[in-house]
Amino acid sequence: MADTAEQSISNSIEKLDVLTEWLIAWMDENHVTKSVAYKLRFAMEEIATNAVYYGFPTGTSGTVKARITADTVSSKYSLEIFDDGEPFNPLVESPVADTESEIEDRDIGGLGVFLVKNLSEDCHYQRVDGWNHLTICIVE
Amino acid sequence: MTLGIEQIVKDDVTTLVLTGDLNTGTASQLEAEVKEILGGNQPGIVFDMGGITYVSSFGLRVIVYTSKAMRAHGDRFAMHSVQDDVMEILTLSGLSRLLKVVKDQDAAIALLEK
Repeated sequence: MADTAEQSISNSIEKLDVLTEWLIAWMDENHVTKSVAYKLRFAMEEIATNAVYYGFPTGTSGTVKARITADTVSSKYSLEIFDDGEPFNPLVESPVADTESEIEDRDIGGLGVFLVKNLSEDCHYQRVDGWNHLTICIVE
Repeated sequence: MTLGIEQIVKDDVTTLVLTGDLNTGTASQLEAEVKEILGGNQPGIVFDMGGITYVSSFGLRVIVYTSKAMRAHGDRFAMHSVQDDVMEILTLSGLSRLLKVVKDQDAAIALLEK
């Protein structure tokens, strides 16, 4: 059996909390464990934040949508983030994360996407009908 | 999503007792607080992370900013009581080895007194 839910927002920074609150409420209802809840929230916030901040030409309006699906048998969660901004595959086009330099030289650009890849079982990207569609799979 | 910041000044160390979320919406509050402390020339800063349940990459950015800024002030910056999920993020980022992350307030103070 699979449970699914979705929520969309306009591409405004002030609306990002709406997505976070929606996901937290869903995870509470579905008794998602603390560790998985952290990963799901982290993945959603990083990808949705990047989409809202960088995904749309200045002054244009658009939509960012999240969908969560739980496979209750295998405790496998699929988080999908959609946006109708500029075509952008964060998995390959994000800046390369620096996890090696000393603190003085640290730039954390690209770190969010790097961490999403590391915290998830699998991620893949598609561009479909004018939407960026990123699927992130997180397992118990 | 909220961030609580309680400031405790003892001797020359300012401890910020943090609670809640350190994310896109709240990280700038912590950055402003740190800038204010740096302006007052307090030579030591401790982040008590015990009540922080979530850190995003924006949160990491402020932690890195604080660490960099404190290098110019004698490098007296430490964090303690970091929850496991947050520690995993610090470790994956390669930041845990660069930051002074210790068990509790006493250990942080002892480290800054050296």
